[in-house]
Amino acid sequence: MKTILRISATLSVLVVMLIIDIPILPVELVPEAQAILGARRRTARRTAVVVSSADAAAVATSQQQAAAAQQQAAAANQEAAAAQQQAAVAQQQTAAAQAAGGVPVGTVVQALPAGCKAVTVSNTQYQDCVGSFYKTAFQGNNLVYVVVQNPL
Amino acid sequence: MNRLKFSTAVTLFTFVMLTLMVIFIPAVRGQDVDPVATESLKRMTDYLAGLKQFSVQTQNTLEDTLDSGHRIDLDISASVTVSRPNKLRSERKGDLVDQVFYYDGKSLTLFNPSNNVYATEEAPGTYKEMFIHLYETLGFGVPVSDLIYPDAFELLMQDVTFAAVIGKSYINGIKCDHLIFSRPGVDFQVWVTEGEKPLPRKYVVTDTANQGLMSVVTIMSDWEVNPVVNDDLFTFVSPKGAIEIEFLPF
Repeated sequence: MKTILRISATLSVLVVMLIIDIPILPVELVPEAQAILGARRRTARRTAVVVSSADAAAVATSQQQAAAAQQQAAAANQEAAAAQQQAAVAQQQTAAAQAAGGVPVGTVVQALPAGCKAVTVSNTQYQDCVGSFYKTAFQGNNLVYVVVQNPL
Repeated sequence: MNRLKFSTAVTLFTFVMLTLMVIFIPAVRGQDVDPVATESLKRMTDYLAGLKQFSVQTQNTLEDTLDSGHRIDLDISASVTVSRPNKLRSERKGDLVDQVFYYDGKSLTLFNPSNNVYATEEAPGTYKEMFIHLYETLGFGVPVSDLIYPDAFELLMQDVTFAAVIGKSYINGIKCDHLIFSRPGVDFQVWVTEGEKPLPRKYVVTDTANQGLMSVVTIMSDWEVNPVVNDDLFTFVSPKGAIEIEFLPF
């Protein structure tokens, strides 16, 4: 009898504990968000302690600088990669369509190159940019310029 | 003997708790969509749908990321005038645009005053079809445009899995109910004016499908309900020297 009692008591306690852990019931232990916030608060405090010491601050700054340098390096790499890509694309385009003064027909740009002058041919306005001709158009609601064949 | 009673009591209590849980789980799940929040949204969309004409100033903020990884905001101010069933004018100025949009139920025109160029197209006869045409054929979306559809409520509530009232808040000094709705991939918050004229004051749409959780924020101010509106406002008349251009196929 005693054994049955013990087992049933233990089981009951276990089940009650499990029930309290189920979040959908109104009874709730520390919600997760609060637990995370608590951790954040603690982290913030720890950072504050570190920064209050001058030596540590210097270390932190140099670390930051290092990190920034790394970032810059990464950015530079990215730029280099982008430049390479552009070069490749430019080569391809040159090969594909050598038209309108070197810029392939159909290219869409957001801004005109320097030295353009407006010319009107059969009621349509073009921009003559040193041999390349651009037509103004809307792409979505953005104003853009599209390279076209020489209309003259 | 006392022990036996105690243990029986505990077992009974556990049993009762379990039974209650089984009974209440579906009820708790159902509460994910708070009817108070949906009711408030419906009051707002019904009120908007009932306005024959209105004008509003909007401040749109598009959150974006530069290639360098920095988070920036792109802002557009717009002055919008609506005359149901199918007229709309919007003057927009911002980082991305400086233009006037005209829609008179038959055609739409986009006019850039600073470049003095415009494009005109035939347009469908309803706001909804027109905005879908804008988005799918011409390639631009207009934030909060869905709020003026006659079936705005049904559209907004589509696939909503969570709705709640966050609380009371002030937008430009006006007391509002702050609501949140969630559907897979998108969360939207709306601030609805308390009282007789349940106008929306702020609208935030957040892309929850991507880690960046980018939002489009629209703040609406200077609401004018039933202003005096001349139909000329919605029809574009080409100014002297303006040049017609085309929409690129999207």
